[in-house]
Amino acid sequence: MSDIRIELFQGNYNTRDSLYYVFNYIYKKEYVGGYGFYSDNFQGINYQLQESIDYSSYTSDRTVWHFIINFKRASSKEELLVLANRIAFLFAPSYQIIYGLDTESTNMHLHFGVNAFSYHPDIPTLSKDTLTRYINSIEYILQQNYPQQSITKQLGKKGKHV
Amino acid sequence: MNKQNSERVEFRLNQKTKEMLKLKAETRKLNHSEYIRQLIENDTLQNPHESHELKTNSLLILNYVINVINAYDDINKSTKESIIKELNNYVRY
Repeated sequence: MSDIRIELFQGNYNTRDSLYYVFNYIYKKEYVGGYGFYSDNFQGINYQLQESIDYSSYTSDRTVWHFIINFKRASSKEELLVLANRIAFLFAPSYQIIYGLDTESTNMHLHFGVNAFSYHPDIPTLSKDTLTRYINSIEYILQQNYPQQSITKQLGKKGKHV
Repeated sequence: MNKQNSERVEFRLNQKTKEMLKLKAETRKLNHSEYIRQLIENDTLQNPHESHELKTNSLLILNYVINVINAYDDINKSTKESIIKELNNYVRY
């Protein structure tokens, strides 16, 4: 098994509730961050997420993307949160994103939830092709940060996780 | 606004929001009714998508600062929360 795995959940994230549940799940993690919303309460965050759907010029079957980055070798929380912030910042100019660090399981891993609807009404919804390009950039960042570690991607992991 | 063309509306605000209303209206040299009327018309009658877009875009720097603060374990949780609360209040209001 590789040292670092990027896993994108295929799931059936096609409703406004899906957006709510994925963001809420990640929001409850002990260490959380993100872009495109005031972060002081979840109801407020959800309102801001739903507004992006309301005002978008586009339609989409998918409302949210959910992926994780799993680290086999231990890294510090601080290091992973700095990394998460850097990755989230890739999406920030176009899409609202939340991340959370899961420290409860054996391997620490980062969760990311991305609103498929841009907060810019004229930017298209986030397709799988576009997301794949983002994930390629994430892979590049990981290679820079962890040159000695092997990295694999699983784009379309079955199930929803949330 | 001509009082004959308007209706009285009652609504409830908590103390903090009430003080904000007073401050915001005074800053713009408006009475409370006129301030709320402009707020509603600007936000919902013209280009609400632009309002959402600009507001969200303007949050990115605040989000960045908060994310960086949250990343460091050297700062204890209560201090982080106090800093973030102040940042949110400063930027929002």
